Amino acid sequence: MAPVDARDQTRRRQERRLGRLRRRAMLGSALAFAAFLGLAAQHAVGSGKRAAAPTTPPVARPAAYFDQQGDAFAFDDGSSEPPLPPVAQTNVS
Amino acid sequence: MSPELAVPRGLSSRRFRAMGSDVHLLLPARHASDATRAVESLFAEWEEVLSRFRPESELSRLNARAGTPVRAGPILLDAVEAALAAARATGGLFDPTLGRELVRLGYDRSFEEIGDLPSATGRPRGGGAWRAMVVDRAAGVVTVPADSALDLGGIAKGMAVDASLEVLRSLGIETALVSAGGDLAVLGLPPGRRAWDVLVGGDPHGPVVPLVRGALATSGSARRRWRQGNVARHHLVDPGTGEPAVSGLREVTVAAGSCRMAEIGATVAFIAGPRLGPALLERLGVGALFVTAPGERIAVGRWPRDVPYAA
Repeated sequence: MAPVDARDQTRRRQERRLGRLRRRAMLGSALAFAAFLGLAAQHAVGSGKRAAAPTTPPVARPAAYFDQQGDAFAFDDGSSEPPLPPVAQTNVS
Repeated sequence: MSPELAVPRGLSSRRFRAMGSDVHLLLPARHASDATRAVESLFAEWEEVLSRFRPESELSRLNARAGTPVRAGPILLDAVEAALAAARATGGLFDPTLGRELVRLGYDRSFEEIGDLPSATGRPRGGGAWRAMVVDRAAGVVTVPADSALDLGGIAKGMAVDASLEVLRSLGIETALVSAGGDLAVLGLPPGRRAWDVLVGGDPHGPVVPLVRGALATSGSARRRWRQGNVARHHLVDPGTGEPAVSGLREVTVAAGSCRMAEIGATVAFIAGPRLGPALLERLGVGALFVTAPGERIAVGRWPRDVPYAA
């Protein structure tokens, strides 16, 4: 019979390995979803101003939860204004 | 150390505390009092419904009755549906059903009340329980899987910021900034300026980005951290392991069209790490700034380059 420490180490190794596998599977799923969004965006570009055809994505409806419109957020791209102290901070949550 | 923040001409700066964060508002001076009251009231209502630390909140009652259908009001329904959609959209990297893991790690009370804790008991189980959640929108009923608990902290705060801008817009206000901890969104532009200059992240001498429209959210392990036994903990749990994410990152800031989306992006990018996170966010069309554990900054997508740093 293996000593308790050895059993604990084996269990911890197995848990770590399982965690890595689960994380890889989730990342794979997330990247597949992202790839779908990329394809949808290319389709929209390739078909002029026509919106991308409604499609059932493999994981979820994308439009409601991630920005695909280029103008959903914007930064000023060439300010000639003198730098001022910032007006706000995002901090860390 | 808090950085010096400017107040743009014609605006008034107001602050209050809600949802475990400092809430900072920039509002037209003539509307400041009424608008602050409206936003403060909104945050109070959202916290009353969605706090994990108030036993009487709708969320606490839902968690307490895990395994059975529970009636939910519109705020809880919206937040649950948004969180589940985010979980589906990210393949489970964003997981709102890690409430029990956070409790196991000692985050079972408001962050300010956490001291040094004894070692954890029980094994991590990881995430995925969101797949078994049931939401019946028509009946206004939610079922959390038995032996699971929801934590809507981050996404709830982002959604409260978005909802605040809607309230301000409904009051006829065309220029405003709402910031709650790491989550910030803007409406219009400050008078006479081309952008809102926002200091990004926890470093008081960090980059200052000129945000014209949209939202920013920063997630990181530097602030909400504590000790449990001999182990350092933080609140961003990797659903793959059930433990605080060890991804080689210090913080991630995401720019998106809404605070909800920025918050989701920042959370999943932090968990995904510096190798896969940028690819994930770039394909999702958001902009981001990653700060690695050693302090390297990596700009992704439409994140502005060559920006000034706060003095």
